[in-house]
Amino acid sequence: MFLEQAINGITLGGIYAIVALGYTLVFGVLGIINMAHGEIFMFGAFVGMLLVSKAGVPLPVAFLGAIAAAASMGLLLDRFALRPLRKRPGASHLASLISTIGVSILLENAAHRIFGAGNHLFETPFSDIRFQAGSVTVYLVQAAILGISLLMMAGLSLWLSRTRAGKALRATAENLETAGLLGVDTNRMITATVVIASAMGGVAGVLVGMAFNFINNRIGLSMGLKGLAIIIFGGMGSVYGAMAGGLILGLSETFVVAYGPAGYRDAIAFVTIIVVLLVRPQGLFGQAVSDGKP
Amino acid sequence: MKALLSLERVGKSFGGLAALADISFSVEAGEILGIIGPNGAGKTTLFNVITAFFPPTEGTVIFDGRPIGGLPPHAIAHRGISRTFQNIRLFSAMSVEENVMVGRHCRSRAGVWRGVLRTRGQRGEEREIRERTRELLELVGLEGADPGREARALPYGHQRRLEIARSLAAEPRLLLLDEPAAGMNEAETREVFELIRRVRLLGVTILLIEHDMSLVMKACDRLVVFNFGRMIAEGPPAAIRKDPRVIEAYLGPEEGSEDA
Repeated sequence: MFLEQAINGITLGGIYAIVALGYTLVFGVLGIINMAHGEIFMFGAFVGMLLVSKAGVPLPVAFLGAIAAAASMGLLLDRFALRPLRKRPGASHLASLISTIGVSILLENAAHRIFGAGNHLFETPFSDIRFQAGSVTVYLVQAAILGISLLMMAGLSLWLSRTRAGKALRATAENLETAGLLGVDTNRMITATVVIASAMGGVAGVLVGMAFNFINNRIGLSMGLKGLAIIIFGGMGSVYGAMAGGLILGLSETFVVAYGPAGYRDAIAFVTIIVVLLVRPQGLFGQAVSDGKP
Repeated sequence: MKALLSLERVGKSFGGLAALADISFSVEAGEILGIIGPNGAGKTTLFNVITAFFPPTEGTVIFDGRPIGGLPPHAIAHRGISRTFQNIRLFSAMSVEENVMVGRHCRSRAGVWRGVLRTRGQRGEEREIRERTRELLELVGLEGADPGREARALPYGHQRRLEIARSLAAEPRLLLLDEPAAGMNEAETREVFELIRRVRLLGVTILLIEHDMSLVMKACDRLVVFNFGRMIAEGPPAAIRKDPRVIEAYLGPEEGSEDA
């Protein structure tokens, strides 16, 4: 029982972490929360749903489709809602926050028009396959979700720490102006970051469909709020904070449902976050001071 | 000798306030040109204008025969201008080695996606970058520092050296040093100036802002003197030392009784 719940918690936490990473990457380079991220994630889920449940294509193809859709939306978001504001000298960087809110409302309503307000079944082809090890039952879907989210987290960490572009992204996140003066095309770096974050949102959308078997046009908001809570909890802009925060939130929610008053699931999860923030206002992996910024 | 960098009637105003006005001078390839002047004279503003941190409001900046006004900062870095900052601006959460590698960014070819595939060319390039990073750390006297250590954990003097290594990683033809010895003791300052001479031997032209007059006089081939955003003198150190306008800028007018 305990082990099963732990597996459930880590599975859910993995999805939370992927959603939170999308927020934290963009926060790192732009210093704002991308309020449209939840809706891009939702469109990823819908594209995945259409491909799997309606078109009947294999799951990996659905992932590719969701990634392509979400990444293109990220590209459009940057091109039309973020970049025009970046070019204006003297414009507050919060202006782009407001424009992402606009995009988020637009996307939510578009989803409502296209897909309606009801729940859509997300049929994973192998949803009944499970393994039994003693008293522990693990569904193949869970293993797949866990595997994919861990793979993405590992891939992202390696990319950030090993590759030239990853280092340039971290440099841009730490100090945009200095990175620019050292020859990093920071505009291109920001675009790449928004696209990568959105693509991760697309993956997370399919993972949520796999985990809950249904999606609707409101999952963007609910998942988005969790993602936001996690990055505040883990430390704004911190990649490892988003990963750890996602797993902690997933585990605590699951255990509350399993052993405690299930109705308080979200409440207890958020109380945990509040308590941590009282002790560490900068979040788990955040830095107390942001030095180096002018 | 030909001019590597020339400024023609460059001006920079913020709102109605002119931080720089009517600045014209050239930097010859291979020389060390010192920029001196009292605090607030516009020296750092000049560096910011040259590197397109903010573009000039008047005049033209010509680098290697081509105007660079209007180019974004990263394009100017690609052309071959690199700089350090008065208050150190390392990527403090990144390692010593990574800081230098980011400096190398504009001289390596791999793009955003190519790193993921890790082709043979990519691996070869990475080895080359690592090798070059080691050489640069050695050049600035950081061969003893742990390359994996976070930059913020380095002692102050080493951070300054690391910043110079980072700016050299971009293989600049013109290096702008903004008070590279600020906050250092006498021995450390001497070492930094030895380092600057070594850098010049690599064929890098240097534009240097420094407060310490005796050091500037010794290290620079020529000096340009700023006061209140304007150039008040230009010439070899020996002439500058005797220039009455320079003495006045630093010490106040001869007959004035107020503090300088």
